[in-house]
Amino acid sequence: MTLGMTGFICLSGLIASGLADGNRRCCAALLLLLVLCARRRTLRPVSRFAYLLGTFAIPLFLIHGLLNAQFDLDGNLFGLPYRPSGFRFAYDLSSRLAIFVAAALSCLELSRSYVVDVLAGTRLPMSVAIVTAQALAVVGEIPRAARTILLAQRSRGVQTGPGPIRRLRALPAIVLPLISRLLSEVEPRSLALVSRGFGAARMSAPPTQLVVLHDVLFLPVLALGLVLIWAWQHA
Amino acid sequence: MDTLNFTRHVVIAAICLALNVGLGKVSNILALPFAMDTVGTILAAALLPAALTLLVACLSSLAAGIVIHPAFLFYVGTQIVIALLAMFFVRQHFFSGPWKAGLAGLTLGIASAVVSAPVTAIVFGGVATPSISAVNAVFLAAGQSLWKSVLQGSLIVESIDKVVAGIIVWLTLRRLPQLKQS
Repeated sequence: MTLGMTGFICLSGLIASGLADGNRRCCAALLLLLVLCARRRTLRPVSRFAYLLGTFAIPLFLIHGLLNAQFDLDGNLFGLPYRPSGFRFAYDLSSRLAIFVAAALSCLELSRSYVVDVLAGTRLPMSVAIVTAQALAVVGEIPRAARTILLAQRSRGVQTGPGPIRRLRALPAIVLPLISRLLSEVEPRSLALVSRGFGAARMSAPPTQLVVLHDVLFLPVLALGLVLIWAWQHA
Repeated sequence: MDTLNFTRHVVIAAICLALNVGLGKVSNILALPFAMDTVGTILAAALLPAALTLLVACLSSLAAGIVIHPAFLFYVGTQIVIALLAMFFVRQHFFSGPWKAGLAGLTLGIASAVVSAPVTAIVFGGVATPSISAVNAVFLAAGQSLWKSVLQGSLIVESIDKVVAGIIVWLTLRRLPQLKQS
């Protein structure tokens, strides 16, 4: 993924989100997704797209299509009353979100090391890249550490359920040792960074490959697709 | 500021950022309906200079957008408002006792709800975290408008969430001298 490609896909997403109706917006989102799958030669982005969009689209259809009393309850779906105007509203919003999620997947579903390389390659202060890199490294440790602390606290007799009140009471017993553990790592991490030259002089960024040939080849495909959708809209 | 001290601040900022992104998972492990996505920002306001606190706030949305869901990118304004308010509360010594910390958390929750409600209503049609969405759905089913429902739902959930966050930060700050000694 190049920065240029990322910018292009974001721009395409923004252009496509201005399309008039949900069908065309869905087509634009699918096009972005197909280009992404073709570039990575895997269908994994599809499942991630479905998960990310589903977390918003399913509640949207449930809330506005069935519950939102602002829309009329005059539809009938297999004997179940529903709100057609609410469904249309949910579909319209979901199609916009589909474009956003597809564009974001293209930009954001990258390896953590790549994100750090790109941050270091920009003209931002090195501390920004270091903060992000260290944070992304620590985030992965948090659930593991929390589970270990949870088991340890249970073995000490701390009640972590059943019931929300007991779980809420157990929250400090899990979170505070976790924060303490993370903060106790400040000193060794700081010394490790200083020993590697952080803050001593202007650091050079690691080499980042910013232009990849197959990215450039996919640009016309994406552009052609968007032009076709645009033409369909204005036909 | 010498190099080692600056590096310490940078690492603390990274840990606060990681707490913002990762504590939600701890909440999931305990099956609690809290996002706890601002504990790190409030802690940063207490431990770090203003510039690094704002950096933590801004990068939290980016990091959560990468790790959890791209929708977090839209809530960068909420994080910045929370960081500014948290810095104010720290300077006024609000995190020196449980009641004051709870009050600061409540205020942060109200501010957070007011700032994030327009994003939730316009961009996401009232759908946010599961707990907020559920409360919004109840208000919408009762006949309230989308804006009113989102604002009320956010106020209820965010207030509880931020009070918990405020108390956790107070407890952490209370333990900090012990941490420094160890």
